[in-house]
Amino acid sequence: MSEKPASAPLNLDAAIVVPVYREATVIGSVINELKASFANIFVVDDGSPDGSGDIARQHGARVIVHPLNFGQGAALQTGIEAALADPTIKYIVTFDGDGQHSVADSVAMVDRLRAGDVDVVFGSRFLDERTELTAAKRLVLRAAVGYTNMTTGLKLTDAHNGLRAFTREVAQHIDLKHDGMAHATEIVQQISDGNYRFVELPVHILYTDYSRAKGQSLWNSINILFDLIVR
Amino acid sequence: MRLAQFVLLVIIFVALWFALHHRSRTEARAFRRIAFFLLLGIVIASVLFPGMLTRIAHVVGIGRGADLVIYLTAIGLLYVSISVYLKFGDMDRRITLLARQIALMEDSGAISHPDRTSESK
Repeated sequence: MSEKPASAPLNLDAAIVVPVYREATVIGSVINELKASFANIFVVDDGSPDGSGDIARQHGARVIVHPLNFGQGAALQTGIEAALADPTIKYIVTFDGDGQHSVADSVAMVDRLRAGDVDVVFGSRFLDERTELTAAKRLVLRAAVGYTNMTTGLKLTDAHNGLRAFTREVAQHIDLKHDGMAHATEIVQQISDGNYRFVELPVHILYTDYSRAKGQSLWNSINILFDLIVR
Repeated sequence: MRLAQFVLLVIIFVALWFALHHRSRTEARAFRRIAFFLLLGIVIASVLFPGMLTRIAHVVGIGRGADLVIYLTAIGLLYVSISVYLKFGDMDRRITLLARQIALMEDSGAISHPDRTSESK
């Protein structure tokens, strides 16, 4: 990313929404990388006790602070609403705060939206071989894809991938009610209900020791399934 | 199937249905109050007429009155746990919406956060 020339386009018509909870050690470098390509970075600090929000603000992000911790779904919805409040924003990208997503992938997604033939771009880690996964994680993710496709009627190759981009119009129709991780299926459901045109782009998820330690336990898939069925 | 099994299954499904679908506050509250006074009446009656529960139990094919009480208690517990779960879900949702408004108002400068204003000095 540091190779980018200073004149790199800053995608002024796009907003990056980064939900953040306890990412103090990495959020600074995540914002630095994003800054090279995006002018509008909306960080939602989901009640982190470690000063993640302050660090993001020092690195130049606009930071919205949840007074309490609610979960990634709640943080995303807040970030989307904050971005929509700026009328110059035409495209919104959701980007995880732990550094596992690629800025180059995000730029490609916004470029694809700008082409105008789709309303939503989903990131998929299963469209190419770049992303390395453990067998257990692969199995759970595949099951999640199967469940999401079955309940939403869309045919996707990846679910619960936090990197996605959509137009302003789609964002106005997204209303995430699941505060926790079940929002990933919920967002697909709402996009399916809206009959929006979508495409999947291959993305590279960089699993570092940090993101692995930070990432959710596979057991959480049980909780997500329960939330989706009962609520 | 014994009569008791049939009756209990019906009660379980009615309780489930009420817990899951009758969420209009007024109706749910009325239902809970009727159930409460019904229960109160049964409890008082069973104290005054100790043999009554056993006779009712025999009618539906359960051996003892105490067993009937256990079954009904289990169903009551199921109903209460589902209602409380949903109630907490509603409360979580309301708190999230409230917090989101606060966060967005603070972001737009409509309100100021004491910690953050002192920090920016």
